[in-house]
Amino acid sequence: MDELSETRLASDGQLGRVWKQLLRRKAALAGAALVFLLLVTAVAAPWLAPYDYADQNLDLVLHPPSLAHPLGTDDFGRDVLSRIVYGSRISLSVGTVAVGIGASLGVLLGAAAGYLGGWVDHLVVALIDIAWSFPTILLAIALVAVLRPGLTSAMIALGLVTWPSYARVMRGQILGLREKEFAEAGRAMGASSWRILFRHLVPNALAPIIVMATLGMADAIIVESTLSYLSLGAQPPLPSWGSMLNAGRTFMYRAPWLTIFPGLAILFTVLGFNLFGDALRDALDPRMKQ
Amino acid sequence: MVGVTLVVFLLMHLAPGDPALLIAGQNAPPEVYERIRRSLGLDRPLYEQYLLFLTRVGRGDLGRSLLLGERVADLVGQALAVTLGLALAGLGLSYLIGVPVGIVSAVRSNSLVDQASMVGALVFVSVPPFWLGLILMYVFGLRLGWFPISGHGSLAHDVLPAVTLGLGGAALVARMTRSAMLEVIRQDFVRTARSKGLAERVVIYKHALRNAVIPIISLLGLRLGWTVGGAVTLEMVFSRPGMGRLLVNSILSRDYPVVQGVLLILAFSVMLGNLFADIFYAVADPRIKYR
Repeated sequence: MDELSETRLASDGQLGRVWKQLLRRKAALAGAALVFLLLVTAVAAPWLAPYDYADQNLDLVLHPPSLAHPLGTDDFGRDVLSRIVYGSRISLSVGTVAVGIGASLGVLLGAAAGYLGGWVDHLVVALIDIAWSFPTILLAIALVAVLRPGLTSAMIALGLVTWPSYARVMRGQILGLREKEFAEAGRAMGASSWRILFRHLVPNALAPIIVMATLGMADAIIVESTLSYLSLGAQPPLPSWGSMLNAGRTFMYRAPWLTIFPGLAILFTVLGFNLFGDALRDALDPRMKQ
Repeated sequence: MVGVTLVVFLLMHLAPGDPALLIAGQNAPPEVYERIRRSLGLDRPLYEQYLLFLTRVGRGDLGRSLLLGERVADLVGQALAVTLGLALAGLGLSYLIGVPVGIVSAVRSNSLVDQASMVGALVFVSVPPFWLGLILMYVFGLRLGWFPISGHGSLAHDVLPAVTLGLGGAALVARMTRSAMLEVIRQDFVRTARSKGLAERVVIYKHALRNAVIPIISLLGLRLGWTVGGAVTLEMVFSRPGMGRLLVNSILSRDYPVVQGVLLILAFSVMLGNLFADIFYAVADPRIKYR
């Protein structure tokens, strides 16, 4: 058995250990349950929601919670529960696309910087430094302005503002791994830099990236809801939780349910990803075993 | 710093809409449109436009608002004071609340107090700041009537936005303080201090906290950007005339010189804040100075 295969087996063993650790942690299970609930809600939205998210009933405008409308209705007489259920699709898709863009870009640039060094490394580090000079939400707002306000722009902007964190971690990981024996072995066997990097080094450096991506889902959902609250993300009549909060602000005194329930949906979703991400980090960090 | 100006310049160059057309209006004669284009330097090559922009920024000239005609530097200056005031109050509160909570959690590790504090911290980390602001506004402004729900100008106006910002930040500070203290209080020198018979208060505050303070301070630099970003969004919630409102209104009305000015000044403020955090860091840990 060659050295490279041994490395794989070691990581398979680590996977089993992490899995066992996660099953033992209540926080991980609670987080996973919340994330699973969001997933089911998003997939089964048409069956779970009692009404269509755009159905208006002008006889039931700003109706408080009742049996027919458990979370009340909004200023167009639309069912708040149905809009929250459909809104889970927006949060989940924004989170997934934004994290997908940010993590892919970050892994690619961070790995290239760490492995190739030289001017590539200098350039990537300079780009990271520049991006970090801007508060994330501000850079996201500016990018949305360039791309024109909307959900797609928000997803792309979020991906573009989050890549530096992934790149920095991946760069550090690759710097530590590139001199290891299994990388040397790959080079001695004549493997190309590309193959060594993406077949052997990157897979071994992915653990912290997975943790960051899980926690990144939470951040992406918060920033998307903020952008939508500021009318820069999802546009009406899309039932984004952030835009629902924006619309409900005007009626806060008369209809507080328009402010409370969409916010709770964001809170529980973000809490789910944070709980699971925290537990995953602890399970992957050998120091936490002690 | 030059990188930041380049990013802001390119972002605004890529933004949709022609500034000359915005000033001249859709029905302006072509010669008027051309004159405005020339006066804005838009007829020159991109690198020349950037150098011109850099020279102007160096002189403190951020241009004029396309909509209001006022100097961007004046508009940004007025708004910056509001935003920085809120950001500093929020940051101060987050440390005032977060550090004691973190210390108590670490000292009584795994107790009910520790678990309750950490669950509370996780909940506050997960709450979007603007929603927390809305809830505090509903309870303490609309229902109890203790504080005004919008505007700016008195201490009472600042309480709700500052507390909102402080609570979100305190959650992270508490988590960081707890983990830094936990690492320190298990070390030999703390055991030695206890075995010498020192009072627990002296052991915790004089010996342990002093050595745990470095990661807590380093968080300050990282939190600055978050706090300024949080302050900017909370200004929209509490209708405060700060950088957030200026930025969002300028984006929605495509007043790009103002957007450009706000982004530049906020990025510079965060960079300056990070520099202060680094200096503070060196003062707190003499080993960094000697290195």
